[in-house]
Amino acid sequence: MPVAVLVLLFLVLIVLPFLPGIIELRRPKDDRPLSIPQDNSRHPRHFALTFRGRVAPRVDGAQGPFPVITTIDSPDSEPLEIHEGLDVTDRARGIVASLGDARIAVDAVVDRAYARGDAEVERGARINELAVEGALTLAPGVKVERWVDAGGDLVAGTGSNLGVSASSACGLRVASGCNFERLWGLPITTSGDGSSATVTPPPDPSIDRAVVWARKWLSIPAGTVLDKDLVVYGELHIGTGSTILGSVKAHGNVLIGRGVHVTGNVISRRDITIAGGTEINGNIFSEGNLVVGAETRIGAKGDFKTAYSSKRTTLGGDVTIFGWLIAEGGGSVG
Amino acid sequence: MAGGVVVVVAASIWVVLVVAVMVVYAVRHWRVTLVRLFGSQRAYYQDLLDSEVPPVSVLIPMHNEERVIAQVLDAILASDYPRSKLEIIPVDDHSEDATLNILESYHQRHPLIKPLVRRNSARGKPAALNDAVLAASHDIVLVFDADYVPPRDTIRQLAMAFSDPEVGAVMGRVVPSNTAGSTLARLLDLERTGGYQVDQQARYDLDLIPQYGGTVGGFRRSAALSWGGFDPAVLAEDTDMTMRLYVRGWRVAYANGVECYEEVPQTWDARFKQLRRWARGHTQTFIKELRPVVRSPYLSTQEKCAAVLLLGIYLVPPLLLSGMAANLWLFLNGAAPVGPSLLLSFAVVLYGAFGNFAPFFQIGAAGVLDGMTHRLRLMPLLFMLFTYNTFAVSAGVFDAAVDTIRNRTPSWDKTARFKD
Repeated sequence: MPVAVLVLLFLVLIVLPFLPGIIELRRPKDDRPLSIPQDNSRHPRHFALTFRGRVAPRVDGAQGPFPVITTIDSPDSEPLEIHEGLDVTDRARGIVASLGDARIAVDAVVDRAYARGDAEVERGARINELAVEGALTLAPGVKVERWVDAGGDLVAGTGSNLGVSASSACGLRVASGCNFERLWGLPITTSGDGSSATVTPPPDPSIDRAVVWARKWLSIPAGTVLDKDLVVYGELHIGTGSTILGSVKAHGNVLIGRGVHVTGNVISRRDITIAGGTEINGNIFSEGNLVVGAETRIGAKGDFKTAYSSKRTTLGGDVTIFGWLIAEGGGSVG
Repeated sequence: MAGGVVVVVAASIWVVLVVAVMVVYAVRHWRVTLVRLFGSQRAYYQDLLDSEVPPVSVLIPMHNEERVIAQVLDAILASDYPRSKLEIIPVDDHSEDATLNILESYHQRHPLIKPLVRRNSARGKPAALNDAVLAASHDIVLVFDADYVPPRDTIRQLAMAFSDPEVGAVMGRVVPSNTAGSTLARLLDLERTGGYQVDQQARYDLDLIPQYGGTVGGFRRSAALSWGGFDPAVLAEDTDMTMRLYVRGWRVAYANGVECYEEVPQTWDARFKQLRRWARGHTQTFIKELRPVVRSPYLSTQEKCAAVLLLGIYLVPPLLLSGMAANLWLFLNGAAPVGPSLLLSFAVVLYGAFGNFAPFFQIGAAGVLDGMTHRLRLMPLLFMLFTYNTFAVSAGVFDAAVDTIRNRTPSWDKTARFKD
């Protein structure tokens, strides 16, 4: 008898780990394929365009007397308050929209807003989400929690915090002291003296040969013209005034001297530092930090590119970027 | 008597070697899983938006695919990639059904679809790809199997990896679509999750040879042509390409976020054939590429070790079986593999606790990262799949050994489809 009990106990213990799986097989609760979005298409203004798509049709069809209270097409049927013109002096809760221009006063707080015309956000105001069809001006010290987007030009004043994303269908001008994560503009330009992004150019090598190659690093002398792609297992230094007619990739840091022109992409497994006065026609992809010195130009009119860094990005003054700037670890100007 | 001692010593050494190999692979499992769970994840190139995307040739090898052909072509035509930068080359490889008629119908409506018909040359994916690569107009070549349905932004995301001049190939993630099809499909769903979400991503993070998988991926045409294209005698053309690229200084980028559904075998018989073919091809590549890998000046010591472990992974099941057989023989003959000791007992318990559970830990971690819920309860049943795999893989390795000894060229055996 004790032997039978032991055998039974043994069998129970053997089967026990499999029991939850057997139950799941007989009565499946989680047997659908993992979800894969089929219609995604990456767009730097994704948040704003989705928001517009929900709010704009309601605003277009709004008829007085104002304010009109309605709802937008969303799973929660969120309430929407439509005004002829919007002037927020204290706090606007929920979603508010304006048929014309909008003004968000000093230290006012806005959850989600949309304006058909231009918008002006005054000093110290806090915004969660804001989309405008016209121009958008953010005064110094404005704080964006999530995103702002403008159909026209977007100007961000000194010391603004631009949240997760600031985008414009036209130009995006960012003053010194601004912090950001993702910027989109055609182009993005910086102002200010860019003092904290001052970059010391790498010393130009004094070796006569055109290209010096070593297993761990590559240093290209000043004034070199190279018409091929480069892959370097260590650090890459590109000397002042050189021209690279191709793309470069380094496993170590990349240091680009003043006045360099790279026609392709610049990619590094670590940091990329651009001294300034440089022109890069391709994308920049840094798995470390990215420092862009003053008067650097990335992309060109009608040819947008991306500057990406896995860590921090620091921009100097008078930098121009046509396209997208992504700083996964946050970014700042000057 | 002396002969018996020699056999005992040889068997003991063999057991110790097998245990050592098992420990190495267990450590590898733990390392990649811990890195995936707690390490910093390497960025892929999906965020690079560029107004000037490179022109791309999409190749779709197919053999008797009338049931699935429309969905893959429609999906690629619906892509957000500029049509002016795209050509689609479906390769009709000796089909006997309506595949060709359907392709011609698509070609009439969409001139960017340029079917390639193969009837006289040898059948098989490597040979079909060779013809398609020659017919392709562009340097960036992406490959999808005929039963795949790539989401709208897949082509752009894969193509952007080639912004990096060091990238010779790119690989996306495959996700089983027919998970409700059978118990086997559900177990393979777990296995795939561990393989991609943890293993491939961690290898990408650690520079440990992420693999080009032959579909939902692509490569540089110029690189493939530089060594004369795919070897039609090798059944694992994807592993072969991975190693050839690395040996020559190229790298493979892994895009965990570029996901695409695939159909996994629903019957044990189909699974056995698929895994046997993979093991056979992989072992062929092991034999062919081991020496070039070890000698490559472009690979670090760590990368060479990773490449050898990757190439040798299908040798583990037959090694395990041989080790178990040797151990059993030693036991029955009253000879322990090494002298009994507390240390040995501790090692056995340690391996039982950590080594045996390393693959389960990897799959469980992947499932958690993927947000799986009740399906994780199936994990103990993977024991059944792993046991079955051992025999299928061993058969494939045996095939490869015979291929090598007899200089035999294997024939391509397509995996059965289960779509209604």
